[in-house]
Amino acid sequence: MSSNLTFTRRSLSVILITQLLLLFTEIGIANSALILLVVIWANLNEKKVISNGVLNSVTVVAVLVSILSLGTAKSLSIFVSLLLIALALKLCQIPSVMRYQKIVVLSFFTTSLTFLFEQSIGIAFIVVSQWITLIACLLSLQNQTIRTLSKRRFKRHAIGLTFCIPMAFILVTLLPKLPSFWTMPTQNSAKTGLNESLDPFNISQLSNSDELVFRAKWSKSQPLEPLYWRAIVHDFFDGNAWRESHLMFFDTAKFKNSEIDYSVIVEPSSNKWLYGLNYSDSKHPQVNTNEFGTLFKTDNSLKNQFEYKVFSTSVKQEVLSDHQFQHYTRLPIANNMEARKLALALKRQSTSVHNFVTLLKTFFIENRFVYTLTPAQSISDNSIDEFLFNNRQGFCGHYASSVAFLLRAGNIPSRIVSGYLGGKLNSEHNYTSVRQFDAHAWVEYFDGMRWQRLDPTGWIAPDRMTGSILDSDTYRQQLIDNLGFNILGLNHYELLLDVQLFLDNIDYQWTRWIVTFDTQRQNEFFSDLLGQQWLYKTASLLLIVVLALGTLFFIWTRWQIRDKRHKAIIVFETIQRETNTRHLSPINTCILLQQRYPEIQQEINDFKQQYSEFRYGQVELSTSSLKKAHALLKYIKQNNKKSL
Amino acid sequence: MNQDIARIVKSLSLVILDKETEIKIALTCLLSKGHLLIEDLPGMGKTTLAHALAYTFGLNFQRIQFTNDLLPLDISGSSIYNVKSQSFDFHEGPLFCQLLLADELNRASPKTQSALLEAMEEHQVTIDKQTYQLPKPFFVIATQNPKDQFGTHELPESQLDRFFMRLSLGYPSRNAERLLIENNSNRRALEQTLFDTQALTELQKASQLTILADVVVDYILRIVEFTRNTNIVRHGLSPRASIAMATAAKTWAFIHDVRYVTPDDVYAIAPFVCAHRLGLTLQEFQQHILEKIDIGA
Repeated sequence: MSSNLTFTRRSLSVILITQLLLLFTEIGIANSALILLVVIWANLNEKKVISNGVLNSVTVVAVLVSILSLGTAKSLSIFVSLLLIALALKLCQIPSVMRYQKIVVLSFFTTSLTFLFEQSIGIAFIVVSQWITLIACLLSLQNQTIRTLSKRRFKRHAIGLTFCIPMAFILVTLLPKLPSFWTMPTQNSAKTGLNESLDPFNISQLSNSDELVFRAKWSKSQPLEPLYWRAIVHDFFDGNAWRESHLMFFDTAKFKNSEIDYSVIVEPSSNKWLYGLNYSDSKHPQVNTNEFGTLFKTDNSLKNQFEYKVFSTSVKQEVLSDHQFQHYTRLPIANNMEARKLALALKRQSTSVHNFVTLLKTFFIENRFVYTLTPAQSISDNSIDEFLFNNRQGFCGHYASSVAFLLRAGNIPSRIVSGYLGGKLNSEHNYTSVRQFDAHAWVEYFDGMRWQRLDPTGWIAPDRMTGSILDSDTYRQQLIDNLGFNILGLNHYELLLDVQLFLDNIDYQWTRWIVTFDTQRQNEFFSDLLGQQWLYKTASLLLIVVLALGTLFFIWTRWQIRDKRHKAIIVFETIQRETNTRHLSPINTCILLQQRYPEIQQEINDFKQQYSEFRYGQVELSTSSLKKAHALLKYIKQNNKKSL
Repeated sequence: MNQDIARIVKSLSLVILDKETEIKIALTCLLSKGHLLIEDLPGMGKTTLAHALAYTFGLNFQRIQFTNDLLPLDISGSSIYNVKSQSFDFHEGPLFCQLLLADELNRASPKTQSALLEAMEEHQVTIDKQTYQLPKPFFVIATQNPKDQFGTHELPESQLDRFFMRLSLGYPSRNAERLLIENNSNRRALEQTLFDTQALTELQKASQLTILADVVVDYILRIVEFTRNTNIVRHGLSPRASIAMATAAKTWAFIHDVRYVTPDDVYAIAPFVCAHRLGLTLQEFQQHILEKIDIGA
């Protein structure tokens, strides 16, 4: 087997293994292991011919393994894993240059499959490296390296590639994006995110990760108040967990006036809930607003990065109906009796709703509650009692849950909101990154006029309120212990902080301009740039550009093949063509013309003299002579027409 | 036409009637320092033309009648023992002249013909390891009978290539022949000298000052390349032929008193320069080669 075939096979194996490393969470360990085995087999077995029977049986096994390990629901993963195993099996066949060329070309498609699951800049970088390796394979199969490639060919390919770049740019940015005829089956794999039901007592450890949730790009500057990103409103208490009600799913009237506007880029997640401050609304066609002023996506999938614009307003005044009042004060089963007693006691002491809240705050502070990220787990029905009177240790969920319970027990309408608090501002580019560890839960209660935000965690850990948990020294160490070793742990070093900000910014720009550049963004981008009727303007601009380029190209080619000889020679040749005397020498032509046009005998004779002097006697032709030549040509042309 | 040349042509036309083109070609050859081959049937005036040219320019003239038993030494001369000085004295043969008329060259054996080779190209003769310079200028005007005539040897290609031009006088026109018959006595009347050797050298120099433009060189190159890439002839033209064409064209233009060469000049002289080198007749060369080449605008 020749060396270039070996090189190609090894490169393809490395590419395939790299892809397995990227995708093994998506296509499953069993499939990855099977593909890996086949790749190793192909590399060990290079001399032996593997019969088609064996290959076919391996294929059948692979199909079975895929379906059994992934289940029929994950059709996209099955599809990808089958393609990859097919590619691996291709490597087991008898090597030949033709066959390997086909495999390399197919690999361009299989490597791109990674983008179905991940579109970050890091992944893009790896996939582009894979492509470069594939190009090297193609060269190697032609017995070429970049050095042996002749300069002319190299130049030709380089020019071709250079022309592709503006072409690709125009196609991506200017061409209106049409909906696809066929879409990939949706992937149901769950990503971490907020839970739709909140039962903090069930959780022994808050799974804090530094995974990015979303970024918000401010149109002006970041608001000064604490950023409470509302996502899910839990208004239904089943006795143990706070759940969302059907009200979350109703698209309601839009909020008119906007106080803050910003756009949000959300990372993929399994939820359809989107994030906004206060009461939010968006004009994006795929974003809906419910009566709580939180946002959700019309279709259920958030499997790709998604960008939308948000307008936020402050809480509005409203009146609760009897039905609503009952809904927000409902406590279904008789449990946590101690807490109910406490609530009733406080209710008797209090003069108003605000006074009740103040009394609650005093209760929490006096009883020395402690904020922790690793609370004790409780499975009893009276978990709130346990928390309030025994444990007194917990995180935001515990405080929100118990305060909301106490408020409801005190006949005050309340609900829990989960979302994120704070985020890290990149002041240079004016955007805030919110990560998973910024997750938070707080309470909203109705004071008779409007819904008020109440964050009981702030009573216990006031520094938690000002922004990201990272800014509070007390909890940072706890958090870092929780996360394990992470770049965040090295935040004290200025340089690393800068590097982190820099990398985060690259990722932000990539997401903002490349991954989420869809019809909506295209529309906005060009509306900003060109005004409302950007599509017509772009289309006409495109047409003009294409026409101009075409004209330029035409002129350029004409100019390239233009007659570079002296004008007099061109004129003389035209005369010869007109008079059918191409076979004669200039002098004989003139003599013939003198016979044909005796009336201008003298002029022709002059021309003959001047032309011969110019052509053979190294005498410059004067402008007047050239004019006379033109005149002669004109005369002959006119005469020709007459005779016709 | 150049005034001097016009006088010569006029004077020569008294002897060779009604053959102005041929006379001009012969003059072109002489002014280009080339040797001339005249091919004709006997009695067409070959010798007369050679004579006339020699007399016109006042050249030292010798004539060798080539026969099949002529030996090389008969033309170059030989060393003869001198009894008095007890040494070999070299006795110059008829080759030592300014204008040599080699009459009926192709009747001699190739051996004798080749004796002319060195003389024609190097203008020198080597006998008994001794090299003798020939006088300057040195011209050979050779006449030959058509190949099909009895008792002729074909001239070798190497020798043909050394002849600058080949000329055929052809039959005279009816009127010219009438005059020839009536004034037979005038035939050799031309014995007056118009020029001396000095003047001839000056004319030769002046003729090469003619401008040769690139377009014309291109035309010459097109002709040469055509003969090299065609199967009409066995071998293409040599570089010596292309140089000869350029020189001849310059002289031709000079004779016509034009200070630059036109493709028409090349067209005019090309058959006389090239045909014999390719083994073609003038007409064949013109028809099969010259007419097929683009003369250019």
